[in-house]
Amino acid sequence: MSWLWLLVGMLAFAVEGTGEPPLGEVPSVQEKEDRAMALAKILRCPVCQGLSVADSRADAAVAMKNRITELVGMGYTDDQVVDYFIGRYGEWVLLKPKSKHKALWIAPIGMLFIGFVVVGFRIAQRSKITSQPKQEPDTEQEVSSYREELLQALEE
Amino acid sequence: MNWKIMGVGMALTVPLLYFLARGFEFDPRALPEEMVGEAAPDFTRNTIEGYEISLSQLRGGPVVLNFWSSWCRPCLLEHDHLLAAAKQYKTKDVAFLGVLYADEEVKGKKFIQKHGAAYPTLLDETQRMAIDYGVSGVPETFVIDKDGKIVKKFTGPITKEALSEVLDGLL
Repeated sequence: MSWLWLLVGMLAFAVEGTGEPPLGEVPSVQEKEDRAMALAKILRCPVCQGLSVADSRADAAVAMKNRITELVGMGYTDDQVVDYFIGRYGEWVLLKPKSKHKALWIAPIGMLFIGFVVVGFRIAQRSKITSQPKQEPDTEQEVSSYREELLQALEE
Repeated sequence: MNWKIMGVGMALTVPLLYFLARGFEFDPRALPEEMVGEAAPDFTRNTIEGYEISLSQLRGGPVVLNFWSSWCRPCLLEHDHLLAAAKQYKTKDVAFLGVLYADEEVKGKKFIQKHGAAYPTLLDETQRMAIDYGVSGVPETFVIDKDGKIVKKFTGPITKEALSEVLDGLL
C-alpha cells in the first residue's frame, strides 16, 4: 500500500510544481501525522509569543504545520525539517535552544553550586566563631583595665 | 580589606558583567535575518491582476518583494512610499512585487482599488512563500539583487529613502 502513497505524493509534487524531490523514505499517513505533530510542538509560532506551532491558531502557525506535514511526507527526516525552518527563521524558531549551547545549560547549575559552596563556607566560619568560648577577665584588675579601655574607646 | 573575598567576588562578578554587556549589543525584539545573504527562494505565483509571475523571470535586475495585508496598519503607512519608489525606479529595471499575506483576495483587491497600485501583487494562499522567506508578520520587505541574492530585509514599515539607499547601491 505504501507504493500507492508514494505515487500520490509524486503526483502531488507534479501538481504543486515544487521541484523538490523526496529526500528519503515516504512515511505512512499515521507516521506522517505523528511526526508532524511532534515537530510542530518544538517549533515556535512566529506570530504568537511563546506558543508552539502545534498550539497556536494563527494563520502563520497553521501554514507552518501544513508545511511541516508536507516536508515529512516528502521524506524529510526530523532533523532536516528542523534545519529547513532554522534556515529561514534562525534558531529563534526553536522553542528550546539546541543542546550544543552547553553554557546555557551548565551556567545556571554551576552558579547555584558555587552559591551553595559560598553559603556553606560562611556558615562553617560562623559556627567556628560562635563555638569559641568567651574570654572573660579573671581578676578584678583585669576588669578594671578592661573598663578603662572601653571608656577610652567611647571617648574617642 | 579582605583581598581574598574581593578576588572571589570579582571572579564571579566580572564574567557576569561581561555577559550583561554583550547582551546589550542585541535587540531582543529584532527578528532574525537568516535569509539575508542567501539565494532568494524561487516562486511562481498568480497575481491579483490575473497573470503568473516567476522570480526567475526577473533575474538580471533588482527585485523588491513586499509582504503586506489589507488589515495591517503599518502596511497602509508604507504603501505610498512603496508606490513612489516603484515609480521612481521603474526606468531603472527594478521590479517591485507585493505579496498578499494571510488575507483574502477580495480584501486585497479592495485595498488596491482604494489606495492605488504601481506593481503586481502575488497571491500566497498557503503562505508557502512567506515560510520560504522566513516571514514572521507584515510588513516585511526583501531586496533581491540582480543575481537573485537577498541583500536586505526590512521588518516593519519602510520609507522611500530607506529603500532608495539600498537600491542605489545595487544599480
